[in-house]
Amino acid sequence: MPCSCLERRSVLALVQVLLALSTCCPASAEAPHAEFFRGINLNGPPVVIDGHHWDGDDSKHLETRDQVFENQSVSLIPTTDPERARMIRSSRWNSQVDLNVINVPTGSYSVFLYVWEDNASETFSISLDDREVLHDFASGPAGTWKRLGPWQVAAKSGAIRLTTRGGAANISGIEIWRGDGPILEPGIRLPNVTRPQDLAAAKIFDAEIAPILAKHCLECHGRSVQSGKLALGTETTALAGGATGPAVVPGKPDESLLLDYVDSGEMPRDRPPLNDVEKQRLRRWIVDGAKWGTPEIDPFLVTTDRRAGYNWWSFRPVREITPPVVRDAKHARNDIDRFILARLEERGLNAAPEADRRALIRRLSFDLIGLPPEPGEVERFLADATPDAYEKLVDRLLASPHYGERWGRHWLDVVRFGESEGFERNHIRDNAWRYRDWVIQAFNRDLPYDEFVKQQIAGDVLYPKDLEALIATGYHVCGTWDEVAHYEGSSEMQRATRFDEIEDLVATLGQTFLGLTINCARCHDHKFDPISQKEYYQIAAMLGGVNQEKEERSKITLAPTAGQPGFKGVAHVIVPRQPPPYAVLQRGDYRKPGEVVAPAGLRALSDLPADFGLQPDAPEARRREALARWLTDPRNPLTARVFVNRLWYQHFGQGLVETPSDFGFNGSRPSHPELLDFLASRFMKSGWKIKELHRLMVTSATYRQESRAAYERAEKLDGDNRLLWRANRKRLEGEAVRDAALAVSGALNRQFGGPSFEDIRVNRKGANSNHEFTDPTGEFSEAVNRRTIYRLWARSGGNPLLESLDCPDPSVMTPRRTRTITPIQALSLSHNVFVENCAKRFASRIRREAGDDSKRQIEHAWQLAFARMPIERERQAAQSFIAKQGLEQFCLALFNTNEFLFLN
Amino acid sequence: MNREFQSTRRDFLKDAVFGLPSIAAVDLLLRGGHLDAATTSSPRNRGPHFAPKAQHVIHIYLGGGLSQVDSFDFKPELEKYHGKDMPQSFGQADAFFGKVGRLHQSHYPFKRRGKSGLWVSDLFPNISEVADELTVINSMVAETANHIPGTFQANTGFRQMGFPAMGSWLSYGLGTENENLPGFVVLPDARGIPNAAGGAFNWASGFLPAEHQGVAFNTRGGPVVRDLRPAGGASSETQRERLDLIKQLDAIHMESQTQTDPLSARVQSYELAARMQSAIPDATDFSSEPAHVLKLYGLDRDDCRDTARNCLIARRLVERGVRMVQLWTGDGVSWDAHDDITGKGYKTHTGEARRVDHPIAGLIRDLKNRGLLDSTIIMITSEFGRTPFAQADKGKLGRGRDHHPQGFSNVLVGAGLKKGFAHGATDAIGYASVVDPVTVYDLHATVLHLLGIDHKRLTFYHDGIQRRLTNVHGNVVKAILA
Repeated sequence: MPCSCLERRSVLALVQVLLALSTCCPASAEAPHAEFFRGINLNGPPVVIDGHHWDGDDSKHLETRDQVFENQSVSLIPTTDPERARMIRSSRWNSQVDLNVINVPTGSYSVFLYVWEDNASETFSISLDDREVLHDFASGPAGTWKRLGPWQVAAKSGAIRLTTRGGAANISGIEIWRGDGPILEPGIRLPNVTRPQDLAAAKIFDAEIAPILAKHCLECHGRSVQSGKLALGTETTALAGGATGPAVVPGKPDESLLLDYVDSGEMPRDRPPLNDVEKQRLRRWIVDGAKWGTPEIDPFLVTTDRRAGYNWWSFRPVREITPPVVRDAKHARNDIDRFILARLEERGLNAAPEADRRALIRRLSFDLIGLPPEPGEVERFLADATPDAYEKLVDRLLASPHYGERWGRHWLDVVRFGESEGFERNHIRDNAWRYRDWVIQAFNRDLPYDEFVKQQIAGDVLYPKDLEALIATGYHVCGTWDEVAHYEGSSEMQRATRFDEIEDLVATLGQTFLGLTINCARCHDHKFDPISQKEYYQIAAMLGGVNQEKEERSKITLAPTAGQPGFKGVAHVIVPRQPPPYAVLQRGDYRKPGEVVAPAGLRALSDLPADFGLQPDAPEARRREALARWLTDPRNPLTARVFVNRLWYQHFGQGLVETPSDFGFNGSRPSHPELLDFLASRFMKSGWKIKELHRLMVTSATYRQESRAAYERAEKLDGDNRLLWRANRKRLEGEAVRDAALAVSGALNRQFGGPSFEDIRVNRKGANSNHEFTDPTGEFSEAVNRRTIYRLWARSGGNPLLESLDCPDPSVMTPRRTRTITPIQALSLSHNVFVENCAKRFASRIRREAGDDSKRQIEHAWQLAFARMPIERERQAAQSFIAKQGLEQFCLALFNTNEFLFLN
Repeated sequence: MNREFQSTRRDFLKDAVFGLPSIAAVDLLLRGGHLDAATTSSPRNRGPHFAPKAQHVIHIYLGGGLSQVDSFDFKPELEKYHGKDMPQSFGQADAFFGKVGRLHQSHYPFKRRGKSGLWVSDLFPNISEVADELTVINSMVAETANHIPGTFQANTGFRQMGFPAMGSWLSYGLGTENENLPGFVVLPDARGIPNAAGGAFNWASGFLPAEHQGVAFNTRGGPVVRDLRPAGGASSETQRERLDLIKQLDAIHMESQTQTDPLSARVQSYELAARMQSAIPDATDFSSEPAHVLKLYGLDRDDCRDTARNCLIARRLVERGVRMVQLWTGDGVSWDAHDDITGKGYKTHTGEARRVDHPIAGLIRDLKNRGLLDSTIIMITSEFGRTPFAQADKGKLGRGRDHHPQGFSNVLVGAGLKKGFAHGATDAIGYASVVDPVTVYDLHATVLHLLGIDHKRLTFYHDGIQRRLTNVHGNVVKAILA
């Protein structure tokens, strides 16, 4: 029976007081925890291992002349996470390894060593500071790896020396902890202690033993899975033992099967063994009476090689980080550059020089407003000799109303905004566009991101008189909705469908704002991230009042107020209903309700309380209000990180985290974790101002680098350009290609907002039949030649030209677009009626503006399409083509060039 | 990493694109570049690695889950248990949607077929007639009971999104035999793109170069590939000259650039597009096919014309050297018969079988008549099977079955295989695979083997790992090889 929230909180408070007292108490025998000091990947780049940032082989703390070796094709025994595996399989070797870790302050340290074997077993001995710590170690069959240690070292000389003798040793990584207390992963919060009378023992258990059990045992011997009928999560079940006998017998290590299995290496099965310290601790704990602490060990306590725990990098508080000092300080225009340069310098690389102004204005213009610069703008920028010419250009573009059209589209991708219901009926939502316009306007008026989030989640609750805030809640109802299931299905089907909808809402919320796949915990605890099944239903309860129903807020009437005009009309926004209490559903099955849950957040988010003091029957409005505040609380470690990364991804063509909507275990690790935190904390401190964040990014020297730099060493070390030693070349998205073709040809209708235009024939049958989207209309007129964001974005209603350029169907969230190059795309761009029409218009514009002189025509075309003048060879090629095939075909060709489609 | 464009040896390429007329040569160089981008091991990661038995694959994907006990896995014991709870001795009954009803015998009678005596049920009356050509694997196991991850795995080897499809691996590993057609063609069901099963992610090239991604034909009527011809009807001479101008301008542009792979790839894509303009209509034009061939496929039958058309296109594509053709059924989950196996239409077996049985049998016969079965493998697979018990409340019997990855049947037909042969077995009631279980990795390894590829050696360096279709698993199922 779960205790009430209030009680739990007061217990917690009491325990905290007791804990505080105990740490003050001189009688306490507890040593402070050891702290992670340094890790070095001895042959490879900087890596993140167990959540700790390791240096690469070019670390300034490493002195070595041992030979390098790498073979990534060997299968490791046991298997491990990819980053660790990569680190292990590239190593240094020698029959007499001799390396120094330098810059080590005097003190006591614990050292772990990663060794591995790529072929036949070798036998060697290992010494630290000339003291042998391991004698005649056999490296085992091919693929075997070990994390040896920890060995205690008292560093006095400012260095730790590692030597081996005997056979050829493959040394992959060295991991050093400072202090001689227990080694605890950083970020682990001590769980509640419930036995003040036995505080010291309980504390030892919680600090030392629980993490070991959580890390190595609970996945198979926990509450949900109990292999061998053994559950080690609670004192009672651990003492009861499993199928083969008692796991833990207090005071009797020889009778405790746990130690047998662990010492013999039989357990954990198929994964890395416990290290010696862990084994010793378990033994000592049992010898000392196996005193228990927390009532039930939280299986998410620590990150293991298979899943993230509470100490996973993205759950830790956002750090305030001082930008590093760099050698090439002149190259740094702002703090971003210092982070980027520091990493480049570590690897002996340098940044590319600044791109020329023509490349810059084209890049900036597409990046910030999604349109090419006009020739006049280019000339003005080139002629502007003031030192802040670039910054002025940035400001001008950020102030353009087209900015919101560009960046609103990125957001709509993330929240899978669609203007039809999807599924079978797929009825068009005639008023969904108001949310689209709200998003555009929010970007344009630089609505702070925390407000941007709050209004989408609970605008109707937080600002009941504000029409805009109401429209913002269109966020909740822009996804799919199965009308047939609701209106024609059995009551069973309706219920089943409702729970599927909730899952979709939870998925969108989690991935959009938090970069977490909370939806994966619907049927069981999350397999990779520390999110319990119960927490899924807590979040579901937060959103339980959201209805995707066809119902719209029609005839909204708001009287004009001081700040706002009145409004009368229809909007597709939230029509909340008081939800029933939510219960955990066994295996996600709505027919098997279990424990009733209160609306609440996720425990994993660092120090941010997840308990909002809401009861299971809390009023709907209070739920979304609490959710909005929780998401935008400055202590939330994910909201700012995730958004900053989205912006970065768009500007730089790759994310600091490459999976913008997954910051969990299955996502990618940040390439520049310090920079990510620096940006996130600065973003929050500056009032969540989005335009300021853009400004910081695009005025950096890193952004302004040229894309054509070619450095052999950089290509070899970092072919993917993760370290950003040059600008990435980007292919324009489908919208930008279409908008640019319209703009260049002078056919673009720049009208803002309002109902969507249709470029696909829509078969709107009656209310009880399906809406079908068939062929492109082929229409080319003022009414449809608007920016692509204003097209009717219906599900399965894609425009083939845009689809060939990777515009996604809004049925799924698209945190990052794929960018393919296919013959189908070539056919579309060469033959599609839209492109042909643009070419015709482009040709007539050139004739009109440049007259009949072919040389002038060509120059003008070049300026419009590429923001530059043609070179002589280009001019000749164009001239002879135009003579034979005419201006229209020439214009069509320009739309098909690489220069038109790519940004340098 | 910057997945959209792989980094390769650009200077090499720049010359290649403009110095060599053959796209195959460029293609080869492109791969050479990728090869060298790999930092470790695998000096030779493309195929073929040894003499192949087959050159082409036609993959017919019965998405949603074909019930093994109603099709190829005959379980007389199940008749005995019909209407009873699944005995504990067969394990803990597990169902995706949690409803474990009573065991249900096959909904269709089974018979021994052909000379081989292979068991096939009346679900597939036409396929039954070519039973002597089939190689049935009755011991398949999958890793998930969930459609989309299962379908991704069936097609890419991985449950996650973003890995290259098998067709992409084959295109990358073996190239195409016909420069004028894509190496990997996808034929969606006329009912639409299989979006319910992840759509185009199932034929994406992942981290392999984009040229290897599957090209999905429009099979819903209208042009097979949209915009194949200029909207305004420009002459072919105009098109050629325009293409030349684009190439010229791109070449000049590239002189001052690095990161040229995507640029070169686009140049290539125009060349391929130009050749596709005539090759695609030719491949999909049935006017030269005699009436008896059209009939063989069932093009005269209203209830299966769509699939018949796709099967015939598949033959014509394979004939023209396309490496892999993949046919989809329905929206990707149309075999997902939760409610009624024998109902009518979508998400029933009776309804879906009617759409594919005659055309698939026709395809097998036609390929055999033409000798193409000696160089082609047909794969008929689904992501998992269905439970031998009904999807119904405990103690109840129902007409539908739930998802079932623990044991199911896939079928292969063609070159290098034992014909009229059944491999592996599930337990007495068709629940768990107990004799010679075969994983998706094993199946992929085996098909690659037949195509002359060692699945462990067909690799591509990505994000620090030599990736392959079979991840770190897979054994060739030697027992089914002729």
